[in-house]
Amino acid sequence: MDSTQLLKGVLDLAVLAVLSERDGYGYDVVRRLREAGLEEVGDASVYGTLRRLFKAGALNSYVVASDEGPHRKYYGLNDTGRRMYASYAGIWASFAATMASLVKEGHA
Amino acid sequence: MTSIAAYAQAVRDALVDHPDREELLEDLDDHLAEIAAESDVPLEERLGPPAAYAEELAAAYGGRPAGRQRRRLELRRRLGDLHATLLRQAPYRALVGFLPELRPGWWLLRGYVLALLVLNLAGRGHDHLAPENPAEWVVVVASVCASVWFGRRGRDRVTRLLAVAVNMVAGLALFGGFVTAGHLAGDQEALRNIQADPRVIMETASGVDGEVYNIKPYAKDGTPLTDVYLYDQDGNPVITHPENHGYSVDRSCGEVILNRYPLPLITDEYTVDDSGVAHSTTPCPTTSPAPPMPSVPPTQPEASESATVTPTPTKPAATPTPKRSR
Repeated sequence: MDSTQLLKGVLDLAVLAVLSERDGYGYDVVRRLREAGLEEVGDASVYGTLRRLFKAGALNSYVVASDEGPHRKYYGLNDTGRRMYASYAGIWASFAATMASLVKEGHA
Repeated sequence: MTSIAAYAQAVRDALVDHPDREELLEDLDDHLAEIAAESDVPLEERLGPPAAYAEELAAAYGGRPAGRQRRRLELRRRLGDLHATLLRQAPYRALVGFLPELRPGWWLLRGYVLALLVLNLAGRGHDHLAPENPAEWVVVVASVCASVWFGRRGRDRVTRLLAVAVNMVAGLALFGGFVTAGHLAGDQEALRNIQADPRVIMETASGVDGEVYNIKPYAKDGTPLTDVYLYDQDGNPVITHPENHGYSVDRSCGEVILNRYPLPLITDEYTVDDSGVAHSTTPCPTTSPAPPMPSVPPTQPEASESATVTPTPTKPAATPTPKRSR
């Protein structure tokens, strides 16, 4: 088992978590996830997840003109996205606690 | 910038059958440009091959094509890669450049083949490879015109699928036509062989009784001869057909050599035992010598000789050793 397998199940939550701090454009989200320690996260996975969450109505988006580079499409949580994040975060907290206690026994 | 556009296009191509392709890839170019702006390392090196990127993208987005569809995409991608590789070879490039020029020719052939297919299916139960009357010509011309019109049409998805189906039918019909043509040629060959068959038809001198079905040789002094082997000028055994005249060869004494005359004939009214073998009243010969093979073809007999079967031959062969003369 490697972390990319685990990441697949929680990428939605990770992206929602990053965007809950502040809005971000595609590559910015990738970079922040990597900086947070998810170094193996794939660009295409993040981009695909952003597009899916946007289609699901969890995100709003807006374009910011840039003098230096291409226009940037920023994504941010809307109300639906925030509710989704809260729900996922609850599930994750419970799941992580269960796994932590389980794995602590195995680890000993 | 070109590399970004090329990479994005390759990703689009790889996701050509994705149901939400436009929505999924809406700002792909900007996203890729953002990545490219950060480093000089080529996109392909940082993100992997476009096909893999597309696969990962589709997996994260969900609603990815089903396994069969994905395998088809994979196959298409591989064919695309092969095509791109081959395009680097000049002969393949020349061939690919030349093929479109053949298309009008194919349209004509396709129209003709489909018309003939329809005519043969609807037709008179025998295969023909060309129109045989004015009405059929009208069908062929109309079909050819339709085929050319269809070929010159714009290519949307439905038309493309239809074109593939039509081309496949025409291709199969064309193949079938070749096979049929082969059979017809074979039939004609067989007919020629029949005509060239060196069959010896002997008729009685009077012509009244028709074909000769048995031969009764006599010696110079009028003694009936038996077990006389007859061959024609080419060394072929002279065979008659008594079965055409209500007789059959008596095989009760074993297999009979058919050019050894006179033939032991029995009428079809003879008794037939339980094993189905007809019996004649004559006793079986004790020996059955193997037929001699003529080392050289015997002299061609005069027509009157071969056709005349009389108890007293007027002109018997004087020399037992035949010499070749035609």
